[in-house]
Amino acid sequence: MSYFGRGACSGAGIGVRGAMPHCDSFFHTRAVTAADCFGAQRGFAGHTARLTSLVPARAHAGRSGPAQGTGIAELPASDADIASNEREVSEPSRALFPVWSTTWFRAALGLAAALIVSLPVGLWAWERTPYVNGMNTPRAQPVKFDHRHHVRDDGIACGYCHADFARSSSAGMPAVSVCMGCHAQIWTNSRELAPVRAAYFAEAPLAWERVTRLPAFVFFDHSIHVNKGVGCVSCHGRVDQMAQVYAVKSFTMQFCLDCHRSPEKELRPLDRVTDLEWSAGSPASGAALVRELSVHPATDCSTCHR
Amino acid sequence: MPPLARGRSAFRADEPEFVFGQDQPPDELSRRQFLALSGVTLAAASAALSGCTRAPAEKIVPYRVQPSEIVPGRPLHYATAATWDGYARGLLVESHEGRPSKIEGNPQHPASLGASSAEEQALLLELYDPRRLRAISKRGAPVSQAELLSVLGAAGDGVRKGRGVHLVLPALSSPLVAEQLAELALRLPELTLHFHVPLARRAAWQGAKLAFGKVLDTRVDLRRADVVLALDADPLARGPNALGLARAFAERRQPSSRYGGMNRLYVVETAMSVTGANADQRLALPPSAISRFVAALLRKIALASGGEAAAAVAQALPELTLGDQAERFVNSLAADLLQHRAASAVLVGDEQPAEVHAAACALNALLENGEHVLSYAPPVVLGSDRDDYASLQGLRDALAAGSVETLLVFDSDIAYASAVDWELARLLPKAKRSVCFGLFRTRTSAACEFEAPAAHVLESWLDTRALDGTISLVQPLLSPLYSGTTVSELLARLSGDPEPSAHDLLKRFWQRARPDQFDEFWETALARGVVTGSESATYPPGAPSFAWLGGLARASAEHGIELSLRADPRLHDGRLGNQPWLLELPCPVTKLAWDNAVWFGPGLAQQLGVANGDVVTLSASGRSLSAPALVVPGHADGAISLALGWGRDSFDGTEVVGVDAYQLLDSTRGHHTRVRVTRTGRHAELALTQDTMRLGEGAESIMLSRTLSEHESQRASGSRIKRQLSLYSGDAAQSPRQWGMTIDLNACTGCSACVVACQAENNIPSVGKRGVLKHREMHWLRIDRYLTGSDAAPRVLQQPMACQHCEKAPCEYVCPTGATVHSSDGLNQMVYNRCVGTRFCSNNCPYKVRRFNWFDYHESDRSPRALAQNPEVTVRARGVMEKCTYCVQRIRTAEIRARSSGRALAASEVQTACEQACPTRAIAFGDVNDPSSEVARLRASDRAFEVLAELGTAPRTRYLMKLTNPNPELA
Repeated sequence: MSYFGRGACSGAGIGVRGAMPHCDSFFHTRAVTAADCFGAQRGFAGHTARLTSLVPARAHAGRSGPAQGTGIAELPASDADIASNEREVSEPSRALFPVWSTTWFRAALGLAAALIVSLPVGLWAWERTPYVNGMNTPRAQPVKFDHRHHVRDDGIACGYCHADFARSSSAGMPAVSVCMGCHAQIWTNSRELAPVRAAYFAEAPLAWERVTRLPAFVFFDHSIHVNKGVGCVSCHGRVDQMAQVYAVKSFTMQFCLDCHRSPEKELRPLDRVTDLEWSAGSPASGAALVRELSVHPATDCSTCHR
Repeated sequence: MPPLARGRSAFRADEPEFVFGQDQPPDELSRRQFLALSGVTLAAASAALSGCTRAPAEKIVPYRVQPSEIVPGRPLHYATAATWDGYARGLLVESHEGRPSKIEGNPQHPASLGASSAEEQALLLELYDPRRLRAISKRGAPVSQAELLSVLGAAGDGVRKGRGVHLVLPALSSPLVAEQLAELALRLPELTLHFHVPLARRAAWQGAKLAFGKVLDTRVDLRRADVVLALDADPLARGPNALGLARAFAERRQPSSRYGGMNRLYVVETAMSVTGANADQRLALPPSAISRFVAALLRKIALASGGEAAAAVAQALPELTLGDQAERFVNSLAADLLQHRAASAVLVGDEQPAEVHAAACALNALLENGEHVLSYAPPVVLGSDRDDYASLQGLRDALAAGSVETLLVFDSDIAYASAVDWELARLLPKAKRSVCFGLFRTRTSAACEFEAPAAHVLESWLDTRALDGTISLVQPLLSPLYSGTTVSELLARLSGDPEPSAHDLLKRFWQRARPDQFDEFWETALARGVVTGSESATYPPGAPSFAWLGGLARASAEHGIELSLRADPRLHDGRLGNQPWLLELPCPVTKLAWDNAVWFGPGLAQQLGVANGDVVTLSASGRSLSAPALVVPGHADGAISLALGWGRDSFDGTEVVGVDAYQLLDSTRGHHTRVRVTRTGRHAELALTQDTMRLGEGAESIMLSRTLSEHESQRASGSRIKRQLSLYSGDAAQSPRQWGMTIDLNACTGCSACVVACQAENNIPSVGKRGVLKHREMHWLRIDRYLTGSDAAPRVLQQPMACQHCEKAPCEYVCPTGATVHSSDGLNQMVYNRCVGTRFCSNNCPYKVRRFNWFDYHESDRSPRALAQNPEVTVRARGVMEKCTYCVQRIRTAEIRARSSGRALAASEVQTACEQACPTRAIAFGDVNDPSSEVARLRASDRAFEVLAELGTAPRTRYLMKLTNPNPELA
């Protein structure tokens, strides 16, 4: 083998000139060449082994310093030169960095590797925290509407207010006139209901805070889910027990896919869709409903993303 | 030395040339896996980063009282109608919670038949145009409505009888307005009424008057015509019944139509038109030669028919010499027409003089093309019987004389779209008072004292009539955004009504017209979009007179190159001239967007040394105009042509698009004039979307075309679809339903309605001229245009090209993030939120149908224009690939509707936007696995082929070969 590798090494490892002394002191107490630092060029490993054991870092740095030109390219160019180098090395040398710096360097490398892994993982996890996705956080509404009272005490069905849940993509928010259907008769002077009256008499619109949110690139349709036996409670939880409504699910894609892949867990008879207390008698009933209602949810991307 | 540089001889015999396993991916991460992984990491990181912040709070604002017909999330469709040059075209407008978002054709309307053109689509963009007039202003300063009303009140003062009041209206066919005008004539007898119609059919009407003594419109049923002759006409893309004619024409293009065999289309024209591109035999002649051609044809047909006509023609028309090529053409044409007596149609373009129209009437009469093919009826357009219809000469004279007290202009840009010798832009300030009602600030409104908003067609109550007389009620989709006035309200005010309401005016009118069971009539007419049985009766024309023959073939003694000022196939007369959808639509003939260039024939261009983009100056009688040149194969030499409707003034600082060809329109010369052409030495960049139109080697794998006789002799060979062995791996599709499309190239006329329909449906942005110059146009569907034959007489092949939804899609194999994947029902899906914009897919797509969002084209759009977007389709952001989805939103919605109600999805339930708009039904879409579906039948046709089938991509879109039916005598 000739010095074929040397040109390649100097070409590839450039900037190494200044770095070589560092390599030396961080990895080994012995001198290291660029070829060691960039050990990929195995082709001339035999040759470099010879060099590395012999050429002292300082001597080398001195030889190839800025004043003298171009670094490794100026390594000894013939076996005769190497021989003369061998003579130079026999003198004792002092390392540039103390021994402990190796440990620190290793620790820093480990930390960097840990960061590379943990940063995306951390962000991935962060995104799923209730803080970010708004789970379990009641939102202040313009009217302190209490589902517990309206659903449990008054026995009003979901569909009385959310009238489009079975026929449209949107479940529908009740028009102000629906509120006023009752509240023109009862609690007519309640201060709590002032925003409702204001909206009804066209003074100021009633702007509810959205609780259950999907990203804009997701096209969810209530009607198909409701008509295939997915109950309100599967996504919205026990709204009848909430003083102020909060989201109980994360609404990540995983949440959607879990059900689309095995729908039997969430299916119920069609007449129980709005029943928030119903629970399946046996695990087999879901599988039966899959057949009965001919449920075969797609997991194609375009099912939800258009 | 690197091994690759060694010669072959350097290999040693004992070394294998290829190392075993070299063709397999390496054991470590392959390049593809590495890219996939790094892509996924990047995507994960960016997804996580974007999730770092909490989603912004959203409000839900419910209705106060929810209208009973509205279900939020389910769009409604309302029938209404648009009026072009006085003729109605039925519309069906989709409305999301009171917001119109898409325009379709009304299947019940005779002039639409469910189809729509690019112009109708663009009405939606016009509605939401941020440049619309929003308030009444006087000399640019806002004023109260009372001030305007006092001007109107003075004009409508009965005591003064309307002296000095001039009213300019656009073309209308409304029965309500007819009654209002009659009332106004009694109240204000001295009021002068003008109609402003830049592209009026006056010559056609006057031609019928010459021939039959009465102003008449021609109605044609092309299904009954074996031979069609179009003389400088574009019946398939322009005119009051273009959509209906295109449908009928396409039906007879099929080799086995139930009305007879395939028809034959002869076209004689100056500039290539959409119809000309579909011709079986085409002859390019300069405008002046066309009347000579007609004279020669008339002479031949008349002499062959004998009788009185022969005598009259022989006496009045000398034998004309046309030149060899035209002579051969006219002989074969005459023979073909005579052979198909009573089953042919001769159609003439509106720009031709009245005598040529009279000659067509005579030809149709001599060829016995009776009522079943061609009938006549008095035009439905108001004022069509006036000799000065569409002429503003009277207004010009009055303005010049200073006798105009009050000028009222409604929705007409008379200073822009009118003959330049009327000088209206200069004379308008001479009116003592002037009011211009319009949608936009125009040259006219800027010169008037008052500017006031008019109501858009989607905000108006009115009625209108189609070519065949069918009445449609125009109903609004929303109340006027900027308190615009309708024409009926303006006329009512002039008649002294202090608080007119367009709705009440219309309803009261029809209550008087249909007193019996009015409510039922009203509801039905609104719901259907047409008043059933309201077609007007035809008029039996009797024998034509030949007194006009002397004027037919007048030889011109003028010199210079003939200039033909044409209507633009996209912008019409310029009414919609500022809508980006239309400006960016490549011209169906030249593929030029964002410009109107001067078209030169290849011969003339060579003679004058003019190349594409050279700016030339056209000068005639002291006026001149500079515009870039474009060499158009198939254009007549000895003439040039330029489209009207471009170069509208811009009042918002944006660039003026194109040049205003009205600057050369002279009322005394009509649309054909003579000009001097000089080169300026300057060069303009032309935004052409297709660089080459010639197919080289391998043309047959892209585009198949045969003559009818060739096709019939090859028919026995059966289907030409042979599945190629494919290099691409791929799983068989899993779902029983498999979507697919067929495009019948024999029916496609290239009109480009589908392109704009797709753009409207799928929230596709316009990128502007600079974007198109960089080939960044975003159209998911384009129409490729190929030429065969010589440049002087090319044959044109059109091919709509969108994502082919390959079963083995090359784009899917190279996407590092899995952003384009196949669905179980055979769609090549594009998942925008996974796309990181590597554009590998686009590079690997052999059909080049993928588009990249170089910029956030939508984000800056905080204007009302954002309301035109389809809420069912994602609005794509910067850095994302996109392409045709087969209108997946329509598929999924239809599936959900069907499955929610527990029924099977019917084959006809899903229509893609392009299919819906197509006037000729060239596009069929459906389940290819359902043997009863149209698409399955067509896929198995002996004309079906796949584009670039040899690549083994197994495209889901198949094309049906184009057929032509040339005259063997002219071959």
